[in-house]
Amino acid sequence: MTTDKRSINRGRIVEVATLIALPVFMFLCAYYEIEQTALVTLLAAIFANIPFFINFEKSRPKPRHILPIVIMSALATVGRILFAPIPHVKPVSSIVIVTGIVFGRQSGYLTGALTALASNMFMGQGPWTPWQMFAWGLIGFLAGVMESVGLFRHRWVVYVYGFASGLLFGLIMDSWHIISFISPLTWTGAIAAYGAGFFFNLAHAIATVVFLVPILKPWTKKLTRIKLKFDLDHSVE
Amino acid sequence: MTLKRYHPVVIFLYFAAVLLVTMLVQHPVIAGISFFFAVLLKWRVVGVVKTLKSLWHLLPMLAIITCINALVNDSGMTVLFTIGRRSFSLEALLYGLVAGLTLLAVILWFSSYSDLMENGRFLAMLGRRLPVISMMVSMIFRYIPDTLQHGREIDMSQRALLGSDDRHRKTKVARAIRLVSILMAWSMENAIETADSMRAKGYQAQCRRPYARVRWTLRDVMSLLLIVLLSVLAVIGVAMGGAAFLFYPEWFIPARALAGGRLYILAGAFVALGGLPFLLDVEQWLRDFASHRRRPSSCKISPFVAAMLPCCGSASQRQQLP
Repeated sequence: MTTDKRSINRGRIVEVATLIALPVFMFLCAYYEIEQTALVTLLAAIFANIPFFINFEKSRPKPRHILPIVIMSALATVGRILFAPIPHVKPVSSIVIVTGIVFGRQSGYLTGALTALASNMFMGQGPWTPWQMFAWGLIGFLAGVMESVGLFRHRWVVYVYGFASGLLFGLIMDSWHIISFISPLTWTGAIAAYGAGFFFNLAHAIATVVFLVPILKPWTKKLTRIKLKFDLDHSVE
Repeated sequence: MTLKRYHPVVIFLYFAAVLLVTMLVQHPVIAGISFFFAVLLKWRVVGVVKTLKSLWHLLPMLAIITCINALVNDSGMTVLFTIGRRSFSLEALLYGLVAGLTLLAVILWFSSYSDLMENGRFLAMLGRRLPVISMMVSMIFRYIPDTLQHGREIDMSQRALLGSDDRHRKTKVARAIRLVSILMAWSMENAIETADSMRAKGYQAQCRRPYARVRWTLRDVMSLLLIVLLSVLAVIGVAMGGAAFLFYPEWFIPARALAGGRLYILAGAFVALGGLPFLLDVEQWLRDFASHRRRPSSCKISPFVAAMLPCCGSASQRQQLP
């Protein structure tokens, strides 16, 4: 039992280290103006997702732990496809946040990452896929962490987090684009690119809150009831 | 497209190699070759209409990237024109064009990749390393049409129960929220049943295997070796400095890129790599041609009979059978 706990703890440390390492690595790429950033950043994003997947595989999840993630991802994917005609308005972040709150950070991460992977099969795969997987995964992960710390007692905090998560998603995607494809990297160029994306990110942030307001309370209630009724609590949490 | 019938690892490595070289260098020649073959492959895979459609979406992007780079960058020496005190250089324009072409080529390669590689085959390849994750992805795909169908059913029963009066926007929104909420709860309860049934059928017994008939053949191995050889040649060309190209302050090709024909070796290897799918097509065509020549009798049988015999028909027809 102790070895199990130790390996789980090690897995957690690796996850947190990855979350910190990726931005630091990206910053170093930008600071030292490394060549071939497009390739380096693509590989970095792929490797950033792997620890989470491996930890989940290692925990030998039971079908009852897998299915909630699958269902929430399917709902988020359907939502993204239905809202595809309106750019940057997608319910994915809010569904991922609710999943993170109810089922914990690991499920939150996986729901975000798998939604990005699955929905891009319809929206188009590209070098952005691993970055979207990471960004949405991070949103779910942080929601789980904040819930477990007890910050989400008041639902206004969740709405603020939803708004911030939309901006965070935009920040990650824009930074990826800027570091990978703008060269020589200058402050003016970077600011111009961030500025060009700002209103889209704002739209995404507002849309996330708009989706979050009606679903947060009923969905957390329903999901918590289902979780208790069928004993879906994940052992790793 | 013959490439589609190769082993998924071959397809995956082919695209990985092309993307590697494309993203490894910022060079007008390499970007141009990559873009050319990306368009050609897209055309071969999905036909001319869809290719033109995707180019229609992508070319404005190229224009935007080129213009932004020319506007925010003032490092070039060859001044094209000046507005006020700001000069716009040929170099900045060229750099933007190369960066844009590279990005477009990458997007096109990716989209051809997802056209060629069916989900099931990709998951079968992934399944060795990440069995749970790959199963979850395929389950998500299975649940998408299911979810839509359930949504329709809920909508109909809600209309039957409450009447279909949605003149007010408020009731419409409230109805949509309730629909989604019911949908979530229903899917979850169904999922629990699925989970239990999976457990009952021995999900955790360690002998699951993916359903996809993939087998290594001699042709797979040969094409894999060819891909590895060409990409190693290209990467050596890059490492030796064959892709050196200075954009600023004035664009020129350094002597070390041309010494010993490094640039030509790199470009040649990359052209061969880009043209590989077409070479494989030609090879398949020659095989078909030869097999017709070898067994002319098979051509004399009436086509109705030939269709019923498993031994007849060209190699490509045979492989297309499920």
